[in-house]
Amino acid sequence: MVAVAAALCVVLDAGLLGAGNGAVSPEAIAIIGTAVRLDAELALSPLGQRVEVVLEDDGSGAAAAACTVAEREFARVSAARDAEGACGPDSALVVIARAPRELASGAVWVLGDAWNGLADITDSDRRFREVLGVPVPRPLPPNMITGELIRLPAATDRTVLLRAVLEAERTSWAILGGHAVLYSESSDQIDALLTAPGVERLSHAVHLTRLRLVDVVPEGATVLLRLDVMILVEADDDAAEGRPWRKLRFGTSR
Amino acid sequence: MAESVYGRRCATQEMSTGDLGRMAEMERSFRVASRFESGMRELTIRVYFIHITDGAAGKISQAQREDQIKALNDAYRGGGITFTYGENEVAEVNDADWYRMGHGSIRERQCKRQNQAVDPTGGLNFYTAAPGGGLLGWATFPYQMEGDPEMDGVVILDASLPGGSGAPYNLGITAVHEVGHWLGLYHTFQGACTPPGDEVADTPAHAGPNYGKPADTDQPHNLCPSAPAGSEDCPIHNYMNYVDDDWMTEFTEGQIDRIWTQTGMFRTGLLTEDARTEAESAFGAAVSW
Repeated sequence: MVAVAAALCVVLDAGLLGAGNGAVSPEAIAIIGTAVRLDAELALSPLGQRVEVVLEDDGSGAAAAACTVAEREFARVSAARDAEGACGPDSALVVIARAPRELASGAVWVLGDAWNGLADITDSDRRFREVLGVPVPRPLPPNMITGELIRLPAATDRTVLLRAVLEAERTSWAILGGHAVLYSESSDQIDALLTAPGVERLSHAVHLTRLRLVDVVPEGATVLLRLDVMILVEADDDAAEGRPWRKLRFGTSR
Repeated sequence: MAESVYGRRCATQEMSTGDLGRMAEMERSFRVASRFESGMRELTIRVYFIHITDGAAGKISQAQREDQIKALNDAYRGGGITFTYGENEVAEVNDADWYRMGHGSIRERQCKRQNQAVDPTGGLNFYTAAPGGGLLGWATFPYQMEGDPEMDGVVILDASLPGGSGAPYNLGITAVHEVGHWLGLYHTFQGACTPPGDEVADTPAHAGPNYGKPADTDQPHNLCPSAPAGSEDCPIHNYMNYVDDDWMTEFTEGQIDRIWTQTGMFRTGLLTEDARTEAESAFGAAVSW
């Protein structure tokens, strides 16, 4: 049970943090970014609430990589059950993991578990706010929200992409045919990325829920990027062809 | 951590930060100690509109304000709550930066600090703006008021007021939803399927927000498997869900109870003198465990 709390301690499970070969996963970076932004927002208030981030370090290098991307040091523990010691006494402890795990106290949110966990990384801001009992801004439905889409050069450093995910809510990317395609709802972020050589804007306003990677352009769809054997389009809400962005996100399609 | 950040009226005990986690327990004690159940449930809330604009953008007409107050009254009348406002109390602030203030931002705090229209203990500061980021609005909770009074109130997307351009969110129900938070309600999907949810017994827990116009024939939608026996329907018509304006039609009795309890504990300045005396006495008893 997690009731409204004075502070929130978010522990990133090593299985969620790592992406293999010592790399940090973009999902973990997105959650860290959400926590860091909320903590900064809370710092403006005299109520004194805060969000702490603790990384479970399994020695793979992922925890260190997360700190590098964020350009700051987070508390680290060798196992999530030690996190209680790393968190403040008033903190509600939430461990976010890819699979269920036992915990002496606090809550475990399994990513992808809509019932008792975290349905998606994009829900983390709302869920963190719920634990803290602070205002939850009401968004438009996902199908009404638009963002911008850009293509970055094939040689773009992964750290650049991870840092973009860290910095802005709901930023995501996919590697399509060697190109990095990035979606962001932050115009400031897009403007900054567009100053780099070789970056191209694909759309000023695209519905993320309508992005699909297809072989053949569906009727009425808008072509955003045509590659050798695949096409990225913005299709109707009810289009069924190809793969939607939620299945492309943070992945590679060749 | 500052002690008593959710500080309480000085004549009574102060709540520590840890006490907030015992909100449900405290509410139960308050209900037992108070006689709030009966004829004291009559409340009039004065609304102070503060329209943040960018030139012509963001201007709200008198007809829109009147329709907004009507939407609030239609929704809350059953709970004994009435909203009023005065045209001579409406403020309009022309500031392009504040008009696009982000939630929780420095801009929001600056705007509210300089433009708060009423002491929040005695009325509702109702800001309209165009925050961007795909946001319809937000509100502070009652227990935050004493510790952070300058932020108290609701911020509502201007296009969501009745007659605005924000269809299907332009019937004034966004404000009904946000005022629900301001009076102490959580979302019906608070905490997903993990107790204590929204801390209201008669709103079955569901996993997350519903959008649009979910069909009554498709129940139970995302109702939690752990919902109490007899809970067969997800609250798709509840004002504290995320469905379209014309799909929101109800508060439950439990939500009205919670509104009165939260008001009695944290917004007594809104109450009549008799009700305030009753509430303060009950609150003193509720926190003296």
